[in-house]
Amino acid sequence: MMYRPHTLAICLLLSLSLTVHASGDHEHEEGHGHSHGKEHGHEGEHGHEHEHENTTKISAAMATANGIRTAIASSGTVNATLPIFATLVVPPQQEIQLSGRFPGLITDVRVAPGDSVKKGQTLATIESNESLSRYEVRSPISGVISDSHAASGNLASSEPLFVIVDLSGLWLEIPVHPSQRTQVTAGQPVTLPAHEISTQIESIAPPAHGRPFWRARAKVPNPHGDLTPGEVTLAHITTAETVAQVRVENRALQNHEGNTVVFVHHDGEYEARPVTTGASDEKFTEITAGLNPGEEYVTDNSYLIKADIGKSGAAHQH
Amino acid sequence: MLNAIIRLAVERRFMMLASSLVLIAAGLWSYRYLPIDAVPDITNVQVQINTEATGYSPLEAEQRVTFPVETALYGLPQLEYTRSLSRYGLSQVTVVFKDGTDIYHARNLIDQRLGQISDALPEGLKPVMGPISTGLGEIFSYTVTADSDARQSDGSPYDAMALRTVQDWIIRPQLAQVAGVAEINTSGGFEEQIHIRPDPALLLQHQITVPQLVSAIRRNNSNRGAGYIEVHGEQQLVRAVGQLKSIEDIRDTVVARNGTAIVRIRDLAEVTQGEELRTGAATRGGSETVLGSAMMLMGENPKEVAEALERRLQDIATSLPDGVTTEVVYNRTDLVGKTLATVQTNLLEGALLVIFVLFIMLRNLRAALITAAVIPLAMLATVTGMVQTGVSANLMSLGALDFGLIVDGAVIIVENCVRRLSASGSALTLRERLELVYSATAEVMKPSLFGVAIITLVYIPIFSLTGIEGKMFHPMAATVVIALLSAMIISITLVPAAIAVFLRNGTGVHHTEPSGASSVESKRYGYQSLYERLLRTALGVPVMMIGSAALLIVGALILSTRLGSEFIPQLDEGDIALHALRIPGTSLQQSLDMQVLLEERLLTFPEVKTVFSRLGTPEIATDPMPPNVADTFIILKPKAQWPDPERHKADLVEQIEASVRELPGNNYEFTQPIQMRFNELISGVRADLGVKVFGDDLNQLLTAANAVAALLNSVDGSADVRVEQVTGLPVLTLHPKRQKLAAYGLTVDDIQSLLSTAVGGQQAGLIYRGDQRIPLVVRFPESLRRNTELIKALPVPLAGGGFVPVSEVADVILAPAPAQVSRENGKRRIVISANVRGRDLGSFIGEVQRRAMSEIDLPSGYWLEYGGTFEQLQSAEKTLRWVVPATLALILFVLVSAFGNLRDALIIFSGVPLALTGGIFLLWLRDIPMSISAAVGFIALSGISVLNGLVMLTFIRQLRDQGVALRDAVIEGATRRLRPVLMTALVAGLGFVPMALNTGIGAEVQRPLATVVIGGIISATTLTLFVVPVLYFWLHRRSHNKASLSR
Repeated sequence: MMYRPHTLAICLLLSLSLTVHASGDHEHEEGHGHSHGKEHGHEGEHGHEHEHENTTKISAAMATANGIRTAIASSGTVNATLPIFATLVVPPQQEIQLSGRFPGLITDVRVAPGDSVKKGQTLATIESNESLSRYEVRSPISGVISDSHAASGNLASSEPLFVIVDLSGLWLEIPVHPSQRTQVTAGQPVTLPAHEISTQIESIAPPAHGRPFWRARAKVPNPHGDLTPGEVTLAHITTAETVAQVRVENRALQNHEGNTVVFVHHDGEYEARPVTTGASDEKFTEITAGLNPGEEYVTDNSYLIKADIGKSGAAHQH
Repeated sequence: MLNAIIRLAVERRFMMLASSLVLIAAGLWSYRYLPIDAVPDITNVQVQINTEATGYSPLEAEQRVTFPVETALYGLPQLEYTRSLSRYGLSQVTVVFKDGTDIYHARNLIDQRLGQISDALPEGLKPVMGPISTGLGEIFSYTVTADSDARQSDGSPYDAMALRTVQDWIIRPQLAQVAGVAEINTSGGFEEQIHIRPDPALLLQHQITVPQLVSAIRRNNSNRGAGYIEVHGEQQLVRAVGQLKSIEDIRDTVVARNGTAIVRIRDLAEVTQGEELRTGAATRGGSETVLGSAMMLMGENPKEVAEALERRLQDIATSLPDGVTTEVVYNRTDLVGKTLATVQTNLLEGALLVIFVLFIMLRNLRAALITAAVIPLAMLATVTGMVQTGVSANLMSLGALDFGLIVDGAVIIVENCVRRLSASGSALTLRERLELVYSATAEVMKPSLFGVAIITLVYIPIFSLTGIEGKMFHPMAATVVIALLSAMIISITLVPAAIAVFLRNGTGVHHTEPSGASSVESKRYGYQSLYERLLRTALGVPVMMIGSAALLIVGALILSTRLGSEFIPQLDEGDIALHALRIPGTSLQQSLDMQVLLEERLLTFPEVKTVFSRLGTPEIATDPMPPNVADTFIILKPKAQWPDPERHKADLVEQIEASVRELPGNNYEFTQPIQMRFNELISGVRADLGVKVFGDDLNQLLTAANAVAALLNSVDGSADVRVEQVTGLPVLTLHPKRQKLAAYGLTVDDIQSLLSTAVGGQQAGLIYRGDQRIPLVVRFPESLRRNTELIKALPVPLAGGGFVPVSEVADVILAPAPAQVSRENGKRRIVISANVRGRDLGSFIGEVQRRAMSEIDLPSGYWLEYGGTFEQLQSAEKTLRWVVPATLALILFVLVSAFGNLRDALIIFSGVPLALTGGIFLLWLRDIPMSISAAVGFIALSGISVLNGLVMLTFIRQLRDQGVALRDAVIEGATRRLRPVLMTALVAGLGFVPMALNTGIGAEVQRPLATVVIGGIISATTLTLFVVPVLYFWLHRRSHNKASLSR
């Protein structure tokens, strides 16, 4: 009986040496390496640093190194635009299908496709079948012969002899689908980035030919004649022109915790400021609430601020 | 039988010695096949099934790929569990099998199952199994870079795409053929593509749809054979060629005819070299790079494979374009070499110390050399045994070897032979000498064999460990057991044979004392007389002796509770791995920009040699990270090149961490390369408690998860409560308006395919350039596909001509969506993890479970499961709770069967707690926490102390059997056994000294073990020498008295 304490002690120690160490297990495993303890300390500081989960501090040097730039919120116009693929067409009165008034023998053709013609210029001479008198076919408009079916010796019937188009000015026909209809009205400016042309909507024609879209029309000058009828091009319609009390650059806007925010910089501290946005165009967005004129907000690399505020939640999941 | 073996060894001594040559040859041959790595491989048997689903969002990937794949795997034999991950463009199912499953068989079965479901998967998606590799597989990484003035053949500088092409088509095919390589994985750069970027306005204008364009390319890009013809007896093959060869060819491809005009691709689209939509990137030293990594085939020798890779990479250098170079940035050989060097130094120095001690104690060079010869022989036998049993050599398995322990058995035998030989004088005939060696060996063989058997036995609890702990320590226990058993066999075969051959008399060649002394007593050394005097004093005050020993033990027990504790000391890999984490949703380019700044900052540290990183998912998704995560590898210079070579790495890490924390937007996790891979692959819940919520609806799951998190936070002792992040990926979703679609005669597919081609791109064929295959991709111009407003305006062509804008027939909404869907065992799940501080785990978990039961209200089809390391902890505790006492009982049983007496067995057993005291004290003094390594040290210790007591007690009993009086027998026996006890203790202790003091790479794993053994041996030896005889005397005196009284 003398030895029992010893045996007990032995059992205790051996189990201790093994089980205590198995329990050392959890200490080690939840950490990510040797620096676990330290890391923890840092997490603590970190939590303290971002007490209000909406701000972060970044030194000026660090901001410069990271390409964080700011701008001052100010008033300005915001032009909401609607991009639509539109077609350049020749206005009906500028494309003439010219036929002889009376059927007869074509005796003389003076122009070929591609020739420019003036208004009133004689294009061909036809000997009428009925009267056998000759009459001249004259161009009703100035333009270019785009097509010709006239040849000396052919009989002219009611078929068109010439197609004359006037390309000095074209129409941009913009299909406005029902969902867009309310945004588009006559008088709105239209730009064609591909051709660097600005114009405005002249009229909006109701749907035709069973096609369910309205057709907004804008005049497009073609002084050099280099625009091609039938060309499809992207048109930007300025649907609303807002004079915003406060506007910010679009790249300043970020989503943060379900809100649209801009990051306001004040004295090395960046704050995620929820804002209400109004109109928006390609470059600027109107801020209707949340930001005052004169406040400094982050433009370039605003994502970095968002990342910094949210970084404590960034975890490695497998 | 054992006697017969010894008899044989002595009689056939020359044959025995010759047989050692066989042992040496076998050992050397085996060494070539011994896989050597730094740490044991703790990866479970797993197969990753990756399906690349380009353009699929997490939800689609889960629904259309992950689910069918998971379902197909149900009922696989040996299946432990499956888990899966569905991310953007990727479905990954990880199948974990029970340990010991044959991986090739498992892969075969999976392959079969995957073949059966190929119809159930969306067209064009093919699940692929990951490389046959393990957590230790990533052994070699290199970067491909170009000099700044190097030019491509067309005169342009090398960009990320050109370098990627070099990697993909020159380097990779050659490296992939190196024996032992499972896969070469690539990160970074852009796969070369040729982009056809149609302008939607031009498509409208020419009335051509995207499918028409794609089919035009497909129909104009093939070669076709047309059989053969015979002409005048000659056979001529006929073929029509038509493969597109150049960008110019593509531009000239005819798409349609518009009236008399022919519409070519050049009229509709820009054709240019383009960048793939990549999911990953790589950087090095602050600029983008192409990073190649070699994955080693399972079970290969990492050292050899890495060396072969390095050689091959040097060969490849000659075939690279001028100015393009490769550089090795990570090579496992370095670490293996360093750890191996540490182990070698420790073993070599330990062996030298052992030889020295033997010589001093035996005063006989030959005897010392015979004993020392056991070391290399046992080592070679161990190597053979390791290769045969498939145990790999690493820090853990080799680290626990102590040559002192190995030679213990031999020491006892040699010492006894030397003693008997010198006692008997020099005038022995050959026959007499052989007989003497035989009897001297047989005399101590039993205690020595029992001792070794006991040391072997104490390793049994280690074999009972399962899971990661088991994988970590089984190789070590196996190695030690193999070494001990081989040493034991050598000590009863080769050792007596060698003694018979080489030891003519006990005094040896250098002995100066006159031989022929007739009595044992006359051979006393000074320390023996001193010991005898001390022992006599001790025997006078037995109670005080035993009492103070008990006090010491109690003191040590109290002290042991104050020691820190860790699972295993972390191997310092010499390099740092750093996860740089950004918020979910961060784009690859943004991540890349942030990473460049991070790397530049890291490079300002003079200790850093180079930095390289992998962002997002590499080509083969062995480690699928989202783009917001970067694995950063910081390769440090050798310490000698540091400004302050004395500096601690932990100190450097701390400074680095402080420095990089100043960078905005990054969160970090510091780890080490191998450790990181292990974490990624094992990937269970890495916290004390993981509550898993299973169910179907993600929102419901998240609600439940948040409720659980709130509950956990309210329970006493919880810390680091974290809900797995599953949401937050911004997704631009197109919701078709079905009524509108119907009105226009469109189908959902029409707008889906338009969107997928416009934004994601559609492959329309390949261009062949030698072996290189360049995908032809139809995708809308960057200016269009990046702008949400323009995506809404994209024209959807109508059957009768004309178009409607996308916004007319669909709503386009930007909203956060699940970033990933995790599943386990075929069900969606979210994990809430928590750690426990300042409270015992069991009661914490009990409370959580109880309260969850009543407070968390889950809809039907949802349930909670509890996991985490507490499971391992509980299972390990449960196992050890019966294995440790059982082992102790077993040892006791062995001792009892040796003595036929429980009391004596227990006396010997008392050496164990005595030994532990010294170990605990020394740990405390050196400020080393308790760990499994230290525990292994205690295990070895208890073996050694039992061995000592055994040797001493056997002799005392022998003397008593001869009728010597109790007190005399105790004194005489103890004194005569002083030399072997001291010797075994000294060799075992000194053998570990280099290990305890070394500071090289890998030393931190061995240090606790060595410290424990040294401390323990000091206490065990001093205490065994006094307490065991005193205890014996004290206990036997009573029965002695009783016996005389009754008489």
